[in-house]
Amino acid sequence: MGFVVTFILGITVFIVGSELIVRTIVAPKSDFDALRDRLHTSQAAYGAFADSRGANGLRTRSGFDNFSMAGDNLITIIEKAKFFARSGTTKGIILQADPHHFASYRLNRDQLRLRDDLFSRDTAWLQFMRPVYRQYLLEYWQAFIQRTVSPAPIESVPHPVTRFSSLSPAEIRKAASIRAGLQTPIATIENTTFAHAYETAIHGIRQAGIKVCLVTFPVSTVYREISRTEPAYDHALRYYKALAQQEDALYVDFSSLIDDSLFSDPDHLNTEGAQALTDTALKNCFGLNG
Amino acid sequence: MLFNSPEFLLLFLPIVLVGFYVLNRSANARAGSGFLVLASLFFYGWWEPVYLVLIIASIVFNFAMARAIAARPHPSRIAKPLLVIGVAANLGALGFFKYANFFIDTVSAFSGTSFDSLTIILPLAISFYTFQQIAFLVDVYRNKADETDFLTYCLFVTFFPQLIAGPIVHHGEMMGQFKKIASRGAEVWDNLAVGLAIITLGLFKKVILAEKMAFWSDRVFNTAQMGGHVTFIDAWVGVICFTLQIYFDFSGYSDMAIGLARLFGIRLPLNFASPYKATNIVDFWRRWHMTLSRFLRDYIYFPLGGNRKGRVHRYVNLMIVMGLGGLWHGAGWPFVIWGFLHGVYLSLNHFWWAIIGHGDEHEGRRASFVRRGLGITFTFLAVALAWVLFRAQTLADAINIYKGLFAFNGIILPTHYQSAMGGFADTAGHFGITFGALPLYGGGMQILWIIGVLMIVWFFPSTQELMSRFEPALDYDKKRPARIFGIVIPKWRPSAVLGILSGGLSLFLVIELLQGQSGEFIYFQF
Repeated sequence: MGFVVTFILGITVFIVGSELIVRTIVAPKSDFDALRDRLHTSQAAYGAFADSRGANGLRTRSGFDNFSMAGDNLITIIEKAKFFARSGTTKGIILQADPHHFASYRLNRDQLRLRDDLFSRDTAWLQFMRPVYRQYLLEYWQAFIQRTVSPAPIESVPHPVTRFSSLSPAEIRKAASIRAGLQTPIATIENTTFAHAYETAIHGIRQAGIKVCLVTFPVSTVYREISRTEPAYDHALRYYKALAQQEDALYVDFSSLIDDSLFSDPDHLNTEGAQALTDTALKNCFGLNG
Repeated sequence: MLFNSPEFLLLFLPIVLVGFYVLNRSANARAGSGFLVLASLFFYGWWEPVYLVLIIASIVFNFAMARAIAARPHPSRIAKPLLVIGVAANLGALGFFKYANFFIDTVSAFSGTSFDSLTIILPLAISFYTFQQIAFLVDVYRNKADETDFLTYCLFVTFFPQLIAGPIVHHGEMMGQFKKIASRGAEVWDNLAVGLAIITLGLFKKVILAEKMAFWSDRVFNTAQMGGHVTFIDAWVGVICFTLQIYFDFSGYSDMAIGLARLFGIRLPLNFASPYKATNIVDFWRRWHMTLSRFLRDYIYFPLGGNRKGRVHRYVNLMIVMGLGGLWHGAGWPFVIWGFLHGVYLSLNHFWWAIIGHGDEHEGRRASFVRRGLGITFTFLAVALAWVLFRAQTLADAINIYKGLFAFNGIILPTHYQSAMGGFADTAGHFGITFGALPLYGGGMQILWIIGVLMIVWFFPSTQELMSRFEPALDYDKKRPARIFGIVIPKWRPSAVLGILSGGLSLFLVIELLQGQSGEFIYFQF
C-alpha cells in the first residue's frame, strides 16, 4: 500500500514542482507570451516569420514586427503569417525560404498543439502543461536542481558579442559540417505536405494584396561551402526562387550577405549581425529605410 | 486507444481499475469480470466501433464451435469436420481482412493485368485473437481444453492488456487465473505496486529509448523511401538504430502489457527475454516474441513433422514455419522474405550444430567469454540485417539500404574528418571515400547514445530479472539474479523513495507523450 501511496505522491510533487518552476522562473523570462500578445494585437504594416535564424537575425522596430521563434517549422511559420495577414493593416510579409525546412528532422516535427496555444487567447490553467514549456520540463528540473545545489553567482558584466569566427578553423569546420549535414533537405521537397501548405499560403496572402518577400537567411562561409557540395540544397533554393516567380513574390538570397564575424554559430547571426540584416532586409524587400 | 496515449493512461486505466475493484469487492467476482469484458470491448471499439461486431462474432462463433466439438466424442466423424470448419472460418476471416489485397496485388503483378484493390481497413488485433482462438479449438479437439463459462472465455479473448499486440496467451495459462482474481488484502497492493513499477519501466523504454532511436532510424528509412541514396555510414546508423528501436518498442510494450495485467492480479506469460543477449539464432527465437514462437512450434511446426523426419525435412519445415511467421507480421513480400531469411538462419544454425556435433550448450552460459561474445555479435548483426526487410516499405527500399550497408552507394565522411585525417584523407580518396554533408551524422552525442543503449541491451538486467522477487511473469524463476556488467545488484522491492520517483517519472513520460512525437507501438500494426 505504501508504494501506491508514494507513487501518487510522486505524481503530485511533480505537478506542483513543475508548475512552480515554470510560473516563478521560466515564464517570466520566456518570450513566448510576449510574442503571442504581439501576434494578437499587432497593427504593424510589416511582419517577419522564420525560425531561430529570424529570431536571432531580425529586430522589431516601428512598423515592423518580428514574429520569428526558435524551432518553428514551415507550417507554424505560414500559419502565423496567415494569422497576421488577417489583422487588416498588413502590407508586407517576410517569409523564410531556407532549405533546412525540408530536412527530415524538421519535416517530422509536429507543432499542432504549440500553434493551438499560440492562436488561442486563453491561457492554460496549468502553465507547465503548455506545449511551449512541457517539451523542456526535464531541462527545467535539471537547472532548478543544479541551481539549488550550487547557486551560481549573479553576473554583473554584460555578455560580450559571440563571434563564430573567433573559434579555431578546425572547430568552425566541425560545427558547420555537423549542422549542414543535419540540415540537408530531402531530395523530393515538392511532394511534401509542407511544400503544398507553403505554396497555398503564399498564394492566399498574395491574393489578399499583401507583398510577400521570400528570404534565404545568411549563413557562414564554411556552412555555405559544405552545403553547396550537396545538390539537395541547390535544388531547394531553386524551388523557392521558382515559387516566388510563380506567385509574383519577391525572392532575396542573403546567404552570402553577412561577414563571418557577425555570426554566433554556423547559421545564426549575433546581435550586431541582426542589426545589419534587419536594415538590409527591409530595404530589399519593401524599400524601407532604417 | 494506445497504451502510450494520454487518454488511456490518464482516463481509461484509472476508471477501469477503480471500477473493477469496487465491483469485485462490493458485488462479486463475476461482476468484476463482466465489467472488465465491457471495458476491454470499449477499449477495442475506441479505434473503430464497427469492428466490435467482428470480434464479438468471432468470440460467439468460436465458443459455440468449441462447445459443439467438446460435446462429441473425438476423434469422431463429426468432431473433426467441426474443427476444420472452425479453423477454416478463422483463417478465412484473417485471410480476407489481412491478405485479400496482398493476394490481389500479387496476382496483378504476375499476370500483368491490373485488378482493383478492395477497400479494407485491417481490424486491430485480428492476428492475435484469431491465433488464440484457433489454439483453443485445436486443444478442445485434442481433449486438452474445455471451457463452459462464456464470460471467462470472453475475458480470455478480450482482456485489454493483451488484446491488441499480445502476448498470444494460451487458454491453459489464463482461464484459471481469471476465475480466482484476488480483490482484497496485501496481495492486491503488491499487484498494484508491481504493476505500476513495470508500466513505468515500459513507458521509459518506449518514450525515451525507442523514440530516440526512431528519430535517427526514421530519417534513414524515409530517405530510402523517397528515393534518396543512403550511403555507408547513414545506412549502418539507420539499421543499428532501428534494431534498437524495435527492441525497446517491443520490450516496452511487453512490459506495459505485463504491468497492466498485473494491476488486475493477472500474470501474463513472458514474451520478451533480452533477445539480443542470444548467442545464436535458435536462442534468439526462444527470447523474441516467445508466445508467437510457441504457437508456430505447437500448431504448425510439430504438425508438419518437426525434426522427426530427417534433417532436410526439418530445414524445409523451418522455412515454411518462418515464412508463415513473416506473413503473419504483415501482408507484403518484404515480411515473407524476412521470415524466410530467418528460416535460412535457423537451418544454417542447426546444420552447423550437426556438423560440429553439439548444440547450443556450447554457446550458452558455460561457454567462454570470447565464444559467447562472438555468438552474441554475429547473432545481433544477422538479426539487424534481416530487420531491413521488416522496416522497409518496399523491396526496392530494402535493396537501397542494403546497397548502402555494403558501400555500393558510396562512403561519405563528415567534412571535418578531412582535416582531422590529415594525409590519410588522400589515401581514403583512393578507396572511394569522399567528404561531404551527412544528413544523419549527429556528432559525438549520437555515438554516445548508440553505445549507451547497446550497453543497456547487453549488460543490464531485464525488467523480469529486476522484478523477479515478485514473479512478474508466469512461471518466472524467482531466483534468477539481476546483474549489471556481471555484478549482482539488489532486486526491486517497493519503497517510499522508489514510489515517489516512479510516480514523478511516469507523469513526466506521459507529458512527453503529449508532445505527439511518440508513435504507436510497432507491433500494434500486426
